[in-house]
Amino acid sequence: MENELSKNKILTSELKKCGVLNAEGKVTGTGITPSLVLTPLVDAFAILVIYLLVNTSAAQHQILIDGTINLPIASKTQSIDEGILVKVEKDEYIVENKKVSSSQLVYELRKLMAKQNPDKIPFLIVEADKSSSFESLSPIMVAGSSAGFEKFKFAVIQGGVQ
Amino acid sequence: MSENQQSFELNLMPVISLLAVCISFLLITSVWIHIGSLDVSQAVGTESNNKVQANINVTFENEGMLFQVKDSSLISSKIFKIKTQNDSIDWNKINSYTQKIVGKDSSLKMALIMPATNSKYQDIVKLIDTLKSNGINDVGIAPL
Repeated sequence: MENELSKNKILTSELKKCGVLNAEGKVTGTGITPSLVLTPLVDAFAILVIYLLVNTSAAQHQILIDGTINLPIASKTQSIDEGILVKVEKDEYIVENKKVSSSQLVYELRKLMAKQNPDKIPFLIVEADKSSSFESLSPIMVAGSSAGFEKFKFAVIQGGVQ
Repeated sequence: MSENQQSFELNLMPVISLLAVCISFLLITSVWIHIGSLDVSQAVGTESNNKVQANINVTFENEGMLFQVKDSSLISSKIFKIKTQNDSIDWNKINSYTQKIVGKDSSLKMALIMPATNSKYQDIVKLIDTLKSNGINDVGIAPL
């Protein structure tokens, strides 16, 4: 019974019923190619494009990480707003892409602070390798406070479990 | 079929090609690692409001960390020590201790971290993260 039903179904399928009308007025069942429905594919692609566009625009920040610095991971993070970036690379300090020694840190930060709007004091963003010791970070905090920075931001990678 | 009935098909191939190029470009250029920040303040020498508030002091030592709650009417200022074992810190213990003290005194919102010279940046960040996860959002670090 079941076989008969399925047999009928195949025999009466829309594809089987299709044919080409030839010049003699007879319908031939050959030469029919089913067209692929592309609309769902376009929909899926459009959704992907929108998702990627939204994600890309949300991930804009001024910090670029290269292979030299491995940032620590933390979960309770805030977004990085505008601020002065200080990098610690092998006991060297890089303030806004300029290498400075620890003794020059205060001078360099004061110079940058003088250019800022006094009503809106920027953050001092610290970017250091996770294996670096506090001995190399402490001069930044001392120099930053001396230059007038009130808040510091430690750059971290957003993540759940370390 | 009558003459009025006309069907047409939109050629979707250029649309698909365009979207495929867009997806490839966005996949290559998108940032998968999101960088955030932990806000801290320099705890020594900054302006102070004279209001006394319950706070917790965390001191890094070679053998572990010392926790001491100060200016709290609900928690004693007894020092709690968490020892390191094989150079690793028991973060679960620190987390449960922080949870316990915040549970006892909900006004505890401040922390002062005093790292040692050889304290690792990773451990300091992890401690700040643990404190912030338990509601202690105002974290200060004392420089050397």
